[in-house]
Amino acid sequence: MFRKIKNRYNNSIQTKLMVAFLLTTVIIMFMNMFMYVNTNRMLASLDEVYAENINLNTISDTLDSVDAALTGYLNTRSFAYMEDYYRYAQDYTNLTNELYGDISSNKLLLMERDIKNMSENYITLTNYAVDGKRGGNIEKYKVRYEEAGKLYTYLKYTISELNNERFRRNAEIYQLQSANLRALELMNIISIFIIGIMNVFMIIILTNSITKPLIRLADAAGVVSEGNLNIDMVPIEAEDEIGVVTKAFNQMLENIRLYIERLRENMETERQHKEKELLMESHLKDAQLKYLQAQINPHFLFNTLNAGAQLAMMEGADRTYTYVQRVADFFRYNIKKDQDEVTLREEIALVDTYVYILNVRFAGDIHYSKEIDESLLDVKIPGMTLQPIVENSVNYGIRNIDWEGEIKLKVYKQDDTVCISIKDNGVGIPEDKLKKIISGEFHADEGLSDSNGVGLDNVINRLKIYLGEDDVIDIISEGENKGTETIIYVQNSIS
Amino acid sequence: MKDNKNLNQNNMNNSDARGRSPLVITVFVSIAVMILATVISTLFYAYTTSNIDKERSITSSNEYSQYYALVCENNEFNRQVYEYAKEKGDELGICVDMLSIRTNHDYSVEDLFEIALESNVDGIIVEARDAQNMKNSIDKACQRGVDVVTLLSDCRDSMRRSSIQISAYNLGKIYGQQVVSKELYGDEKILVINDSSKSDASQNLIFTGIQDTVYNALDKENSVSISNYSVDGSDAFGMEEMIRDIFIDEELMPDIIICPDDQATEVVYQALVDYNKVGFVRLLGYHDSKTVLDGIKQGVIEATIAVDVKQLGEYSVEALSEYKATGFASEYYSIDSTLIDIMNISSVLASKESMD
Repeated sequence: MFRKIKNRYNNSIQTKLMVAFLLTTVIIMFMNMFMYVNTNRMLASLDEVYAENINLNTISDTLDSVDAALTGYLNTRSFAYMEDYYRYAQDYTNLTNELYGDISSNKLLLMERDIKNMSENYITLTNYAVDGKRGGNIEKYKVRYEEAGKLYTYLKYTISELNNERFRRNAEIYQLQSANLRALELMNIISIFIIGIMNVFMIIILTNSITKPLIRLADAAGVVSEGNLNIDMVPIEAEDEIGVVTKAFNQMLENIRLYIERLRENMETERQHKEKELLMESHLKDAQLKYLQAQINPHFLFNTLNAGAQLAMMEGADRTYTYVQRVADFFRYNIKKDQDEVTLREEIALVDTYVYILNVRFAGDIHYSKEIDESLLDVKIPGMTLQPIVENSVNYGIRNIDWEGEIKLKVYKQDDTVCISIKDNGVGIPEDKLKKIISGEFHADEGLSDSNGVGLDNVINRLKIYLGEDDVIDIISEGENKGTETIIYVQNSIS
Repeated sequence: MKDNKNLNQNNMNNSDARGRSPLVITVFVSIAVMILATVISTLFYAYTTSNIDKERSITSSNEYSQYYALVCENNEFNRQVYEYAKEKGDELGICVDMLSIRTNHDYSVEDLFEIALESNVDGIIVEARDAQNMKNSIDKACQRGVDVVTLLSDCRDSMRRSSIQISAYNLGKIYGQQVVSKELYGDEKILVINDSSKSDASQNLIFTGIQDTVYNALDKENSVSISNYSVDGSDAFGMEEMIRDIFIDEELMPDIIICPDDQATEVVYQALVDYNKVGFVRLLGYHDSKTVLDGIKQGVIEATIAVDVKQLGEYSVEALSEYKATGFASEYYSIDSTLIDIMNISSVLASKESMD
């Protein structure tokens, strides 16, 4: 856990920015400090170049002071001069003691050694001269003073020559050092320039590493917001905050894709299921038809019924003749092979036949009436559409009622829609059952022996498929015992 | 589906790794370049300061047990002597320094001797003059324990420990032999240039040597004249003016000029060229400087006598160190000399070049 937090902290944008800016600042600071120290040291050493000359000048000046004090004392015997002499002589001894004293292969050091030794001899001579003066030995101090004077001249020249030699050499060193200082300056400028460029480069790279994934994520989100989910996963470039957001975005995109895929699969399954149901139903009907066709030889049936009709005509039984003839017509229509599309006229004729047969069977119980716009009789509709509706009205509407059953067939035009209404005054249909019928969920009891085998749901589905619309039928029932009206709406199918 | 998801995750991780490595490399390269720039700057600083320190530091490469001062005039001949003396000194662990080289001041030999003495040197090699003040200085030095050896010329009756010399009479004889090596008509004028600032007897001995050799080789009835012509070697430009006077005055114009001095040889050589006297006046010079050897090669100078400067330098140091070690040294060291003329100039030049 701690490691995870630490890792997260290490990879955060804040850390990256801090590392970028702190690192560059520290390096520049270090470089500046380093250059400052180097330049200062070099300047300090530049100051030291002529230190030796300054020292030699001091020695020369002190020598002059010793000589002046000595001359002053020998001239005046003044105590002040004597004090000056001893002080300067001590200073001079101290200064010359610092000089190199060994025999050396180096000319300058050898000169230092000579100056040191000559100085010792000079101070010895001057001391003798002072002692001679103090002791009143005129001969002694005069000779010593002359010798010291000679040595003083040699010393002055030698110090001057050493000083000149040192100066010449130090001037060369100074020039060298100045040139080095300029070279160091140039080097420092180049280094600062390189470091500056690398700093800018590093900052650009680091900020790019932060902004680039953000821009990529924003672009991806823009594409997704336009409805295009078919984009590549946004690459995660770092385990920082943007990385976390990118990961979540990718996950979200993946989940949306999965959801849509599942939805599509469900719809596909449902569609296939429905198709299968319809196919099953169709196959079932075909099977039933084939079953009937297998049981009854239609030609035999028609011939038989025709023979019965001719017999009835010969015997003068006109009503029997008509009845048998109508039954034959009804069955002929039922088993016609090409009954997928028929005219409204044919369908109405079938209904007429069907109602006539039922009225013969049930002794004229059904009061059947028609109100038809003749101009609409050539409208094409699927075969076996109206008869099953009338059959439903008879079987479930008016069969068991106590009052006189009525069925009214009406064909009219409403705007561009042809309306075919079949209305009965039977028991009506409850509302819940009505909804099921319209939605196609209700299946009638197909085992009824009195049915021709085509259910209302079958009619509705075929109408929907044929007309290509959902709102093709309306079943209206205002309540119990208030009858039912079935209206078929046909659009764009007037031939 | 799960596989697909894993694949995506892998892609993401791969792109993550791909995306990070250039960044890390870039950052590291940037830091490395910055550090490199700093390091190079540091190294450069260290290099320059070490160079300056090296330049500034004055080191003594040799450790010496003794210090001898060579006290003489600063001329080419003496500088050559000094080089050989220094070489010998280094060999024996003795520091030899020529005082006149390191000063621009016009010190006399006596002043230089005094400086050497007051600098507490262990020994002095001096181109002495046979004069009382030089004798006093040498005696003073020897009394203070600073041993003295004289070079080329001697300071008789002084306490000097040894003297390294060329036999001046022999030198005169060599010049004389060279004069008579060519046919003489018997009326030639021979001019011997001498330095009036040098008060030792060697110049007289040279003159005598020339005289004896020439006159012995000729008939007694000859009218060859040999005379001295004095110039002041201590005067910076006086010597040249005085020598050029010889060529201006037709009466003075000799047939043969003998210069037992290196500086005088070079001046006469130049004057012969300037006054178009090459081939008319025979010049016998001294020393084997480059100018003199060029003069022989071009036929302006007939011959020169080269003293063995190596022996001079080496013997002076050896004499002093021997006296320091044993308390005794030979009174005289004799130096060889060689005649160089057109016959042997090529081999001399070749040996000089090989030495260089």
